[in-house]
Amino acid sequence: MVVQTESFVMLSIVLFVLGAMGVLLRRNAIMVFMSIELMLNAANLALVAFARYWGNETGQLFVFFVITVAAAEVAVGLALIVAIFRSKRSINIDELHEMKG
Amino acid sequence: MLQLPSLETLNMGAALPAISIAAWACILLLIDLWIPKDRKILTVYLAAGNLVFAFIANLLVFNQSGDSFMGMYVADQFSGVMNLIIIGTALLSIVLSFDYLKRVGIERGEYYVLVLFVTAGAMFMAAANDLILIFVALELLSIPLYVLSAFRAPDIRSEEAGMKYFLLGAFASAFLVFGGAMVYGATGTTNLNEIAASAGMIIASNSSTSLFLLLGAALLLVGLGFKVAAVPFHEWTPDVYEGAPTPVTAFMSVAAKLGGFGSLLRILVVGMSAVTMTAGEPAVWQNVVAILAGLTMIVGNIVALSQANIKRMLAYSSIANAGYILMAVAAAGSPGLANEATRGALVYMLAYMFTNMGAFAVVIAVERANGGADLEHFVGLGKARPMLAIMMVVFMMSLTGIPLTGGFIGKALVFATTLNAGLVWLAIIGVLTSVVSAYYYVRVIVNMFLRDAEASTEEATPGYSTGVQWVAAVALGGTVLLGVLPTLITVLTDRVSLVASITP
Amino acid sequence: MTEVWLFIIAGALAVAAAVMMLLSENAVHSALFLIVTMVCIALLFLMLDSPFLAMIQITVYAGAIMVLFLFVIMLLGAEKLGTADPGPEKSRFRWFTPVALSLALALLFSIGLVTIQGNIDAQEPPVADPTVRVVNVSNSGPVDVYVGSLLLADDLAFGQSTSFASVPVGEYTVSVRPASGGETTAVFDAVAAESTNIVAHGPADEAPGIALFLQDMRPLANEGDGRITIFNAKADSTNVAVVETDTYNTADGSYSFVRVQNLAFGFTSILELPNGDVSWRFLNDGDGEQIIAELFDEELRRDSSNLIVLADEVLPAGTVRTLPLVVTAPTAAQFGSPRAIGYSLFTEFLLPFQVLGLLLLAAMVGVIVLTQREIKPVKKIQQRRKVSRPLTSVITAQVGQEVTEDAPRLNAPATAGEAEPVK
Repeated sequence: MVVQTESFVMLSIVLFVLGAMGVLLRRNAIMVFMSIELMLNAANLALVAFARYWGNETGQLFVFFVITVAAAEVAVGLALIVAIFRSKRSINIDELHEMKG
Repeated sequence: MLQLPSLETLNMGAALPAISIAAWACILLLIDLWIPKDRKILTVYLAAGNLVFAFIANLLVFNQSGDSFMGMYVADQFSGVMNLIIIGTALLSIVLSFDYLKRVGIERGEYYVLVLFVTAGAMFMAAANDLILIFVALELLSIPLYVLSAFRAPDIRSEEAGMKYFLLGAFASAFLVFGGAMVYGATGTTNLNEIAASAGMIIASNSSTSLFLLLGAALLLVGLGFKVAAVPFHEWTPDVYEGAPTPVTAFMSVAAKLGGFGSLLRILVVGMSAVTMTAGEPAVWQNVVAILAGLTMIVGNIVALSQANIKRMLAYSSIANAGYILMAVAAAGSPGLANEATRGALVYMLAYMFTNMGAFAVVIAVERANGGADLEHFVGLGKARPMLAIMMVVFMMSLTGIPLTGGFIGKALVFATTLNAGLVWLAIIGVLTSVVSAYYYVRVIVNMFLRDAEASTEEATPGYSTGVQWVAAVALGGTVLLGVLPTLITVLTDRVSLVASITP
Repeated sequence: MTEVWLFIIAGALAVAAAVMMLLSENAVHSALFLIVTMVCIALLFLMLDSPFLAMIQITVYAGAIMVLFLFVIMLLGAEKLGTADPGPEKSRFRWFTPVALSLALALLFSIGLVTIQGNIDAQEPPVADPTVRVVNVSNSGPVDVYVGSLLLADDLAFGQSTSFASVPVGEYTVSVRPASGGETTAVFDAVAAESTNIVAHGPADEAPGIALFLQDMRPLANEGDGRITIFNAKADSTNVAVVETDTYNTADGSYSFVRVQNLAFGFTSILELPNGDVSWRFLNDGDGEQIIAELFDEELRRDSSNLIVLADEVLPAGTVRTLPLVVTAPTAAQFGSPRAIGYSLFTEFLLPFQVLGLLLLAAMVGVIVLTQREIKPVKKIQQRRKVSRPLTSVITAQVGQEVTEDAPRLNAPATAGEAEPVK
């Protein structure tokens, strides 16, 4: 192993935290959603790095499932965004305040 | 040639209830094409029939223990009891929904198909023995729920509820995946039994990969904590519960928690019991979960005090109830107490299911009769519709934990377990918050009986449809029966032993 | 070294693109930056020995999911995020930016600490356990075979074999006990990641002999080949040759294609051949006249590791025949190859795979339910104003009351506002 597993995991953590920050800070629903995709990608990277380290394919299979689930989630999420946009003409999350906390 | 595993090794029979619901959901989707728009009651019957079949099938396979699907799905008494509760929830909520959907004008056959998918997802979650299956089943549980929350589509509040639920749910599942990645990195496997063995070795040899394991466990807790609405991951609950259509709220408040707690109990008890500082001590995660439980109970109960809308109040009350169940989960960390704690949690979940479904049934009836679900709409209910009011009284009492109701039995078991685990401070918080919660539950009762409605509604709008009647009656029966004769359910749960699934 | 450089470049590019994605004003730019990140991650997957996942990442994630994103962004006209902002003084980030930033930094720091302290690369990555299987070609009846204290074969008849079983690393005593009584033992050393054959052989009245040799289960050098290990368990054979049946030369009775020569009793020979049908003859002493056994149209499967044991079988009547016993097993799939993942999906991970299918179906249903709406018939009548708006508003002001109602009908009597011209 020329490049250590550690380095891959650190990289995946950096990407994960970037994604988490994106979810917390951006106001546009599509941007939040893309940040979630970034988080999932970071987790995938960590999984594949560990799969190579341990020498079994479970990690790679987990990634396979995550990618497919992400596809399903994207479909539903975008449908929700389209449905809201039709009603409100805006996808700014801060404007979703019909219900008072 | 690919050597597929033979049917015997797959042992599909053990997973029959979940598989039958999933398969029937697909078939019902097709059949629904031919059911005309005005006779969607047929879809309801078909869906309900399948749930009854699954219920009976579950009772028949109840004593079968074993792995199914190459170690992915575990059929033991825990999953048996969880399946029963989940199927009960789905059945009650389907019966509850039919009239509501027609009244609001959003009736579609796909609603019931989606409910069946959620049910299948929850059942797979409660019986999953592998992190991958837990993740996929969690998504199967959640994605239809996102859609169901937004079912009243032109209504902006429903769409907003769906959107919020979706964004935060996807955020949580990303945490779950990363936690799973860390646990996999520490142990090399995603199977809970093998994780337990590996974790034991890691802790025993004091290896540094235990840090990965702990981090992974923490992230898994975060991910599942979102699903069960534990504090500080509860922000979405009030808005989503308020905005979603009420039968969906009823279903969601129980089913998501059942699936979430089923998986959480399995991961922590089966997978991570061995993660201790020294052997024989409570697991490391016990304190963390206990703190979460304490916070959840405190925040849930205190914020509920100020809610004027009954749906929001019930949302915060469900947060608080999640806190009580978390107490039992925390208690499961003590060595030797895992089984007792699991049983306590199961009984509490059953009581919670009956009570919550009943309370929401009453809310639907009041919404229909009086047009809304604020506290104001409950005023004078005692005079206008005494049966409904009396049922609500019983449900409120059960939520508080007054004796002779199912809620009391659940709370008693959970408190007993917590005390046995030595978490006295947690039990004290539980009792104090229960007392606090009495205030807002009793406030509803007071409003119903002791205040009179300003305008007398002379038009006798039918307060409840047959469906709501049935559900409220069943829920009432369940709550009272559980409270008076708890042995009926403890007979089933006494054989639950999660710890036996750990290979020493 | 190149690998290190590749990692640094791909990693830096991924992080940079992710940061740009978060900071960008334009949603389309953000989506494109996310695609860059995903392609970098696919590159990193390639470095991590998973070519299949790298391709899946590019085709499904970057190719399908991001295209869907871009489609929705353009459909909603949301690319100019700035126009959705309520006011110029609010930044595009929310108010709790410093709090979230510090929380994120704390999370990053603590997880980084955990990773470095975790020191995962200092550990030895574990190697696979050794595996063992038993083949019985001894004529003293069914045998029980013990490896150490583990019962590997229970009542194994002639010609039967077990599948591979894992044993922990170590030294073991193999004990072969025929049904008729007695025991033969041998010592064998189980080395990690190796597969061993235990062959019990021998004639009818004697105690069975034990042969131990390795079976190479590693992936084949050429894709689609099969591996054959030939073991000679026929005691009274000398210099067995294995020839291709089809190359029989009728003129001088010899075979022009000899696969194996001089295979003595108790020895093995290993071949790797392209898959297909195999027809061989086993000759004693290399002599075309002494055919002791024959394989006719035996299928050699791709990616399989086969064992052929040449042994004598004592039939119940007392006659002896020699047969080549073929035992097949699939070789280990290349790490990260589609075959490896495919195998796992259909054996170990069958249930999540099926639940995944259900999930996709549920998502499809959900999407249609969410976005389907009734198409109402459009009102076809579009009335045009007979009189222009400024004129009617002036008239209204003068007359003092509203003079126009809805759009005037074509054949309706003229409204008051139409008749009087302005002075």
